[in-house]
Amino acid sequence: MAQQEQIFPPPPPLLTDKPPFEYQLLKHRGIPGFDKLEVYRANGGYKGLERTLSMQPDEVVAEVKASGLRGRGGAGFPAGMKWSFIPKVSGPKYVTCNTDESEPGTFKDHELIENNPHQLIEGVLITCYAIGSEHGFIYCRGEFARGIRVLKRAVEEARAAGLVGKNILGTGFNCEVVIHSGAGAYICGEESALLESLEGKRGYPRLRPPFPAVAGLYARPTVINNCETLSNVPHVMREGAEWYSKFGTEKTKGFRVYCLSGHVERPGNYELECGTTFRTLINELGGGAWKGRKIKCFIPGGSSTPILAPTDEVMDTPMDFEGIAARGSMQGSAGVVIFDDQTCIVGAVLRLVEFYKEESCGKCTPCREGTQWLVQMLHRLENGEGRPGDLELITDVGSNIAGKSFCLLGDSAPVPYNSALKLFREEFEYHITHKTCMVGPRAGKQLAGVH
Amino acid sequence: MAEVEYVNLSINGQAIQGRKGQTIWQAAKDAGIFIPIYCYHPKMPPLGACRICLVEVEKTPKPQAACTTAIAEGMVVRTESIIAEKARGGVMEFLLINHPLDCPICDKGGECDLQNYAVDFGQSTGRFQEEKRHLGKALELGPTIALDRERCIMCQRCVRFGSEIVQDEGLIILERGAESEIGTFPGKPYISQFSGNVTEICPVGALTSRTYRFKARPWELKHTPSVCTHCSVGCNIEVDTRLGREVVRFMSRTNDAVDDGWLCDKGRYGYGFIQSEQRLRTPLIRKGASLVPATWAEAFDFIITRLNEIKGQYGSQAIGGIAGTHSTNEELYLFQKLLRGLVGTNNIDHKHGSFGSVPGAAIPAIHTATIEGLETAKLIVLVGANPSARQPIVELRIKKALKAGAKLAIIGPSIKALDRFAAVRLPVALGQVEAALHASLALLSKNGTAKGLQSEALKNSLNEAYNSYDAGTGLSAEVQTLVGLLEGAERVTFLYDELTPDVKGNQDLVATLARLALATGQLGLPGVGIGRLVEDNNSWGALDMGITPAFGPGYSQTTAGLSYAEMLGANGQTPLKALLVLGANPVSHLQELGLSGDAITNLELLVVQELFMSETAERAHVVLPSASFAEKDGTFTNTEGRVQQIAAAIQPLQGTAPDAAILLELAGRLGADVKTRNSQGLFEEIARTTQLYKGLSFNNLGQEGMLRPLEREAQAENLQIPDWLQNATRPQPEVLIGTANAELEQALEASGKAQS
Ligand SMILES: Cc1cc2nc3c(=O)[nH]c(=O)nc-3n(C[C@H](O)[C@H](O)[C@H](O)COP(=O)(O)O)c2cc1C
Ligand code: SF4
Ligand code: SF4
Ligand code: SF4
Ligand code: FES
Repeated sequence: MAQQEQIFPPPPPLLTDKPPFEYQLLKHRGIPGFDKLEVYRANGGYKGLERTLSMQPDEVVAEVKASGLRGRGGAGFPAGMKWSFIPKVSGPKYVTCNTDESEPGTFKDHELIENNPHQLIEGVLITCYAIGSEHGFIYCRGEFARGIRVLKRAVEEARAAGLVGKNILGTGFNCEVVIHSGAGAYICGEESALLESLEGKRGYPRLRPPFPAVAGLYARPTVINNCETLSNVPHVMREGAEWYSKFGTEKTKGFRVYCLSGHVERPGNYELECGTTFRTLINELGGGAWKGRKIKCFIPGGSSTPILAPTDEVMDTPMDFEGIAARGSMQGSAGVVIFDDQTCIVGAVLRLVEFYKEESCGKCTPCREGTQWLVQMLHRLENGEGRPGDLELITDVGSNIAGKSFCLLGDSAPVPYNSALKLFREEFEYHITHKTCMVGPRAGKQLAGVH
Repeated sequence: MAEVEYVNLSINGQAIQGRKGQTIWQAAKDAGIFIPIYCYHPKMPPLGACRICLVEVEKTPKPQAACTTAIAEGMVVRTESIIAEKARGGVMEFLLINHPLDCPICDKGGECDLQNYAVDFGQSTGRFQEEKRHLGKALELGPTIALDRERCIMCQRCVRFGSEIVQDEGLIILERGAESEIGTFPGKPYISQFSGNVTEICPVGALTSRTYRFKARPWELKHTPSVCTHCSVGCNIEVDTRLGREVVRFMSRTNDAVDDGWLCDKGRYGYGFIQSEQRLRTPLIRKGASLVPATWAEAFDFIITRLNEIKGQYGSQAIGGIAGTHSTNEELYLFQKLLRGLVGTNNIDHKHGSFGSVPGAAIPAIHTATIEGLETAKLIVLVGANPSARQPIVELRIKKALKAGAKLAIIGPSIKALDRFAAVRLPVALGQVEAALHASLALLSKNGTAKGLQSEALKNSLNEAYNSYDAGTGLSAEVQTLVGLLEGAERVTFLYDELTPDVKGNQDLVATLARLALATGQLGLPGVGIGRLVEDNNSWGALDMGITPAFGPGYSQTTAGLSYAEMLGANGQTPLKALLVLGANPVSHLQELGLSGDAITNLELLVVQELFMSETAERAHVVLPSASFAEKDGTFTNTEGRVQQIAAAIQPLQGTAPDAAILLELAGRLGADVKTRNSQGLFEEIARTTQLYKGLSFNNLGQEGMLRPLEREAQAENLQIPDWLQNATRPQPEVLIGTANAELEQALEASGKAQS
């Protein structure tokens, strides 16, 4: 037998021996060989599928609706509701699982597919059954070479056990699961660009309407859900909606994997009940800012969500969609990125905006041209060549991108700058007036002409 | 037709009624409200990429793209509000930050949408102080097109022209984001017979024609509406001349009924001949072995003297005329009038495909299919036709129809550009096309689904044929599929090439096709039914004007004269002593007709009106230098029977004269009392005297021409089913159908090659 592949990323060291929350999605931690079918099944795996296949598809949709499960890809759309939009027409329908995971600060799907592939495959099969589809596609970020390998092997294992393919578990349900490798574009995580890419076309987002539920993959009704969303589904179907909805807050049910990264003592994935506070995640579990420093600010839900300052009010905010929205930011993909007090905010913003410039698909003018311009200006600013009026110009250019672009990528590009400027205006101004950083390793150093 | 639903909305406070399903841009345009666009092109689905069309829509949080947003009842749209102007100004600024602004050396400068909208919506000073993007200039994408990447605004029109319209590999986008650029698949230059269109739809000076680069500035150009003469489609063009003197380019003059806004490269770039050095510039008269320059007066004197002598000596039956299929209706009409009326001969013909047993008078009535009508057909059947090679723009219309759901059947050799779209192919050799139609007809008759076949003789002959086909290998699956499609389709267009009936085996193709159209209920339907894909820009005109020995103008009865082949010596000797040739080169057809070249050299008088020296002109006694279509007025009748006007873009080249003027001079010298000298007067005479063109007038043809009244008013119920359609059909001797095999494919390939 091949040597057990190393689990990635290593589970963060915990403050307590026991996980703060009894693992559901991350059950593989601590159970060796969880990526193997027999181990997965020995731990309740595919029980959700078995129960699903004993029900009517509509009942499955109703059960997932009742569970309150919301999408984990960013927008938090109720999963059961999304499935119920699929028209009851004859002909092919598709389920596509979004495992493109490219949002900076987000790495939960990565762990899920590498270590718990059957959980996702089971979720895909259940979703297919619920909407009357016989084809599930798992679109993986191309860089997840190992995860793709693990998933492919798991599909074959499941097929050999009669869980994928024809007549699944003898119920007459047929379903294929296809693992597809992306080609390295953040935009292909946007659901309509993902469909284009899956069809073999250039990854450009599509015009809506028609929505994917009506005309998605190959112009057929299609459900698109995030990897973690679909990984939740087997739990809902195994234990029931009532059990599931006991977890979480009023409007955000269940549990999810928070990705903690940046200048923090113990970065990593933390599975917690929805609505746990930032304080618990960042300070109690993550050990606070690293090197004994202070937290300057943090991104609460992936790079597209506005930066927050660690005030008491913010730290005590429950991490659910409504709670974070009330603080002026978003739950997003639950990627929490910590910046310590030695971080030059201008440099951090430049780095973030560079990402959007690099990943802009180029379809629409504001995002394609605007992100490049933003980067050019921020680059000057960061390197001591800022000019009076730059901050207003950057703000205005940002306002010509946000809300004017074709898709949310462009809308998100000015977010880091806008939210950072609100919190740290004096630092930006300092860059212009002093031609150097106010904080961080380069503070006070002559920068102009350095780059 | 579905009822049109109306939607009420307001734009800039103006109450507007749009049609349900329209976008804001379309509704605004109909109401005369201007909203700028770059990526949107009315012939393509909306894309929403460039964002120049952003407008404010009340109750929506963000400005909306007018080109993608559907109108809704009660919608309140503003295109001039602060929100709309900020959005548009922002996009304009973004498009300009990396633009080289090299307008002074840009071909598009002066007719560029970036310039125009920048003036309308841009700022007078820029806020961009960073380094602009620099890329090499004039990248050659292929033999016809050059790309300036710095000027490109990534609107994707050119890319989508390939993906949406030509539906074939074309231009693509390389790289991503700000590095995006237009290009081609690695190692594959941009080669397409429709390539020139991308230069026209490119809103900026990024894509330019290599032939036009730096030739003229737009404000020096004079635009003359005209019609392409390179094939029978008759696409509408604008002849652009520099300062009214030099023809520098052809541009599309969108006619939705004909070209849908596109031109093929053969047409677009085919203007070099007009001002070619090789043009004949003086009349020539034969002196012994050579043709020597002469004055017009000498030439006319010579012709008239000789004509009169020959007529006196041998009688008028010794005189004949052959016309070409590029001349205008007016010239052709004059030509036959001169021969019939003044010379007194019916020896008149031109080169055209055979009609078999179809009587002349029935010809126009059975050809009702139109180009635009293809879009209403549910099934398009190509019958030994290859529009891709011969009537290129028809290929695009077929593809458009297919995209909208029509099905395609191809009978005959492979058509590279269309094969893959076909629902069924009957890949028979060209000479087996009629047999394939006949087999389909027999199967319809056998199935009891054939309509309109009334005579027992016809039915019996078909049943007999069916039995003989079936007795062999049986009718092939392809014939059965085709018949299934024919039985199921509401509206069918059959397009055949006018030359296919001339291929051995297809002698009665037109009649067989007419019977098939009758049997499927398609005969005489307006817009669909049978369409004849003819050879040249005025092939129909030559028939309509009576350039045949079988009938006069409008297919009127006349006493028979000598046919094309007979005049050229089909019986070893030409019975003629004098032959007048109008814009034709019959000597080039001798081989094809199986004739030797001797007969024509025995003529006592051969007069040729031509643009260039030709094999026929070389043998002439007198050569008269004609003016090209760009130097004269007149009308042409295209492959669907649409009569369209051309206008002179430049003066006739020094030393040349329009054919009508030449013919009128000859007529005058032959004793005619010439009253009408201009094309308008001539056309009015045609419309007055020819039933087929009744009701048309030079003034009502307009910019887009008009179908012959017959096509316009075709009604199935008015169609009298003529007796000839009910005649028993001849059994088809060698039916290859049902034996689809390697041998057949080879035959196909061979005939495909022969055809192209
Ligand atoms: C630019 C962009 C990138 C995105 N990337 C991802 C991604 O990597 N993974 C993901 O699940 N959703 C991503 N999304 C969100 C998806 O469009 C979509 O909303 C999501 O997959 C729906 O799944 P859910 O309802 O299960 O959350 C992205 C959206 C945008 C606009
Ligand atoms: S906003 Fe526009 S350019 Fe940016 S990723 Fe979306 S479609 Fe592409
Ligand atoms: S080359 Fe012209 S048509 Fe093509 S994308 Fe660029 S601007 Fe548009
Ligand atoms: S299709 Fe025919 S008429 Fe049209 S542009 Fe081409 S050659 Fe000219
Ligand atoms: S014209 Fe509307 S987005 Fe380009």
